[in-house]
Amino acid sequence: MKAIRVHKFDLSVPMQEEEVDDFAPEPGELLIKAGAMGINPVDVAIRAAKHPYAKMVTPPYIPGAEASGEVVALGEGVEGFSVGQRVYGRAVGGAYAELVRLPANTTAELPDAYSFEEGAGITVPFYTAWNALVIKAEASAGEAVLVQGGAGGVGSAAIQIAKRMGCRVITTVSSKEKADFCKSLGADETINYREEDFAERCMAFTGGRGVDVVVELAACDNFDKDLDAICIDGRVIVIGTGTGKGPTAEFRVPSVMTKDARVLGLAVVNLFPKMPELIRRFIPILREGGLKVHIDQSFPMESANKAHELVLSGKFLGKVVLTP
Amino acid sequence: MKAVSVHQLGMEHPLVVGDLPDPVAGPTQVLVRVHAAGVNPLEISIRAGDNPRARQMKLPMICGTDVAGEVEAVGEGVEGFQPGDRVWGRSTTGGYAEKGVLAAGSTGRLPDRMSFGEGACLPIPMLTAWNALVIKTKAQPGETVLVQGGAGGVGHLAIQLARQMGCHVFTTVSSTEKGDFCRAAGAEVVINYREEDVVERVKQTTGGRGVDVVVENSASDNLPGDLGLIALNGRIVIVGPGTGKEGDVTISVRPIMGADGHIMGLSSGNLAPQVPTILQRLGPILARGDIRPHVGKEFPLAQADEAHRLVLSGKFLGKVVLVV
Repeated sequence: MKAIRVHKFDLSVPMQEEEVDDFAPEPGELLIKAGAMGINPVDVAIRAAKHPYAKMVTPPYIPGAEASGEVVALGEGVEGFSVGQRVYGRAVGGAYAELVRLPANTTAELPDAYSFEEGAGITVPFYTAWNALVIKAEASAGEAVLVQGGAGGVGSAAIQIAKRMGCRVITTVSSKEKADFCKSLGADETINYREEDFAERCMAFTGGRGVDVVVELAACDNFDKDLDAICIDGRVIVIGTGTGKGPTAEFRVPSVMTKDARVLGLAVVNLFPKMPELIRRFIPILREGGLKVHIDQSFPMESANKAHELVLSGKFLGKVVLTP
Repeated sequence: MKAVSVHQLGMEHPLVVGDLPDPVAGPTQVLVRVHAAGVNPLEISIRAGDNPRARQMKLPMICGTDVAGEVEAVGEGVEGFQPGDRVWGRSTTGGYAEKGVLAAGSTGRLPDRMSFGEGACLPIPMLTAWNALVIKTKAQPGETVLVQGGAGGVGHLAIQLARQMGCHVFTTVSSTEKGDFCRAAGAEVVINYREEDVVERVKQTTGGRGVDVVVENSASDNLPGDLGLIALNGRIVIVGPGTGKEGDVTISVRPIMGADGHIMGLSSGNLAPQVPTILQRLGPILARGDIRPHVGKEFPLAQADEAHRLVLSGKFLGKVVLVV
């Protein structure tokens, strides 16, 4: 099969398209013929060796954590799936390839209303947003949620999940185009963080009370000020350091205390055991057709390097994917 | 009545001992003849001007809040208390004084087995330990709790409460004497942080897993290290920045994410509405003698400045109280 491989932990060394041995499904896994493969900022961070998960792979390795496609083979013990079925899910052993292995218990059928490209943009963004808002923050109807960086993959998913839960949503963006995009996903208000003070805007948004939840995708830049934007008992969910940022953030102990604030981290690997239950609850919402997986660009697999550059630049809306 | 007041913020300005009019119990309040007042790092940080709350205080004010004594009079609508009852709680009119007014619903009964000095150890420290372990981190039986600074006012009560809850307790101390004190309070693993690497020792003792809960009395010093010693889903609850410490600290973001870690702040002010309910659950535990506060040193009321210096030095076991 054709696959993209990283040969060195170094962004200046291009990834290469190569012919490698076909994958075969392990017990409990599905093998799919990929329809599309999702690119996430974490792929780039691992390739740059700026992420702890870099320790889990050794070059040459196939990057990528999610894909969609058609089932071509079932591993031992897999039930509830059939060959030919359209599915999406988390990949093991890498996703940027013609064939991809998906553990069955974290894979779901892709409703017909969604293309393969869209299917490749559900697992990491939407499950992470669900983890942040439902599992970690326990956000609830009528609460105010600040999504820091609403125009990206996880951000755009978080806006939609928060709205679906009955929350009010305010989000930060860096341009008018991104603001319009976030509004189209349901954000009540947007803040251009280059021009406005987001903490002040959050206070105005909530009548001086502060937001209940912050979904924080760029903790290294924003964390300190998030504490000014939240209310008493507010929750800051730390999902990302910020693409290419890190590794530290300023932490004001008195502010955390006087607000009874909770700072909650999350990592997608820790979510794996909870994914089957998450999927059971998420799929009906996905089937309603109300969730929008916006694909900014779909690159052919051989242009994976270009796709990584785009993700690193931040100049995209929603999701960037590859097709075989 | 005799009272000790703060006239100017800053440790360089001595507390002022003087005569003030007796306070009066309004509706739903009780007037208490104070026999002992607890000395907390909180009022020292306010008095020093370091605490964000200091700016909101109107000066002069009576220093402190925590008292134990006898009910002298009850206000309109108060049921369940009568003159002569032995009680403990937080005075709304200030703690370092011969008399104080308490909200009846937030006033605890002092068990016969406890002295007034012991009762004065309870209000902020005991309620904070409860908030940290029961409300914030929801520590469960069989979980491991690390109490950072186990020999102090909150620390020695947190050790005992965690044991009551069925947890394993680790604690850090700065001397052999404090270590023995914490062992007597129920700590199973005692680490002298001046002689040992706390993160290493915790990792080693837990087989690399880490602890489930950290009760952090000195976040300014310990928070970066705490992130390296928590287990998956570990919870760090910040009880204080450290006596006499500034509150800013730089932390690494990734370890919070990697552990799905929680950092939680708390403040005694925000806890106020929950105190009546806590007292109902805490009362029987105290009455049974299952948690015993320790008075490390007593000072006469007029020597409050000296008491503050001792608390700042850290050279005491348990709690410092003023005898009124």
